[in-house]
Amino acid sequence: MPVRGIRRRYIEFRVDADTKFAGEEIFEAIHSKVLELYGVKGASAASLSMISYDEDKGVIRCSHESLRRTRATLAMTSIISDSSAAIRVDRVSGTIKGLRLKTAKHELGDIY
Amino acid sequence: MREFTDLRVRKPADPAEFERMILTAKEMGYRHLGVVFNGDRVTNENSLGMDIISRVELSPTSPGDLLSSLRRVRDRFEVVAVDCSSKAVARQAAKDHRIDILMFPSDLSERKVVGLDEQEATLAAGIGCSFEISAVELMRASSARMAKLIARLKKETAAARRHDIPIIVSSGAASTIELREPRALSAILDLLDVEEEAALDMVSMNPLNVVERNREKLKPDHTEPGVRRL
Repeated sequence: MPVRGIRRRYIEFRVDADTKFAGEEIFEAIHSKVLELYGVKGASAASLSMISYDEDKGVIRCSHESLRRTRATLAMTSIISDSSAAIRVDRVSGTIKGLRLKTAKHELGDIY
Repeated sequence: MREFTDLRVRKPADPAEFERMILTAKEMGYRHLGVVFNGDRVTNENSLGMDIISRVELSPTSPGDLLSSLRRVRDRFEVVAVDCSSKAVARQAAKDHRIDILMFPSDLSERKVVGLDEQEATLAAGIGCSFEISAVELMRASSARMAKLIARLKKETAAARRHDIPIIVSSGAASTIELREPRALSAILDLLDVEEEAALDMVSMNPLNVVERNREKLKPDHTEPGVRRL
């Protein structure tokens, strides 16, 4: 059975700030922070990419091995486009489907 | 299951913001929150289900000042932290078993003089006090300052671990936006080369041990560790 070369992690996050940001602004802030903390080599190993962003919630993808570094990067991102902000991780999964299931379960848990 | 504790939160002046902080911390998975005393004592009565820990931070100017402050506060607070502004204060603090947490200046030029060096670590290990790292210090630092601070903290963390001094990681937050979830705080320690499990202990087991030990001591029937009046 073929095995995918790079294992990935999908991180669902929420932005806590007084202002609204565009997805590009958030990704730019995260990317600058990963470069600042881990350099070009670390950023390349993390292979970050923004999967989705809407309102104040989004999903970012990183390599499985860089999950902890990505969490640290998100935690250390306190400025986005010159405004104070915090990026909070809600849940992490190995697949987008798994992430959606976890989110749905969590939301159902809130209702019942 | 781990019980997460953020042992250093500063209460903002706005009560609504403080309420928001507690609710956010609860949502993030914290069970215990250490609130720094600033003249307005927070109790567990209006804590929205969060276990509030009373914490005081002393900033003595001399060893004598430290001793007199300790006499005043030790039996009134669950956690006593000392901001060591000079080497003399740091040495005295590391010898006094009434102190729970050692803190060092965030200013890097001062930190070069007063920090957790080998001698300080040897003394602190003897009395069982903890070394604290505040995430907010790292988050607020510029790139150049952060690089130096990480190098300094790496050395101090390594010294603390060599001497089995418990390390506590807290947010040091003064507003909701500065709070970070427990796994985020532990992930920040990746910058200091601390492994994941040990880092998680620093936001759960280590701070909770300090609180439980002191709560036991503050009980009226307590006489000595391991001895109880019946």
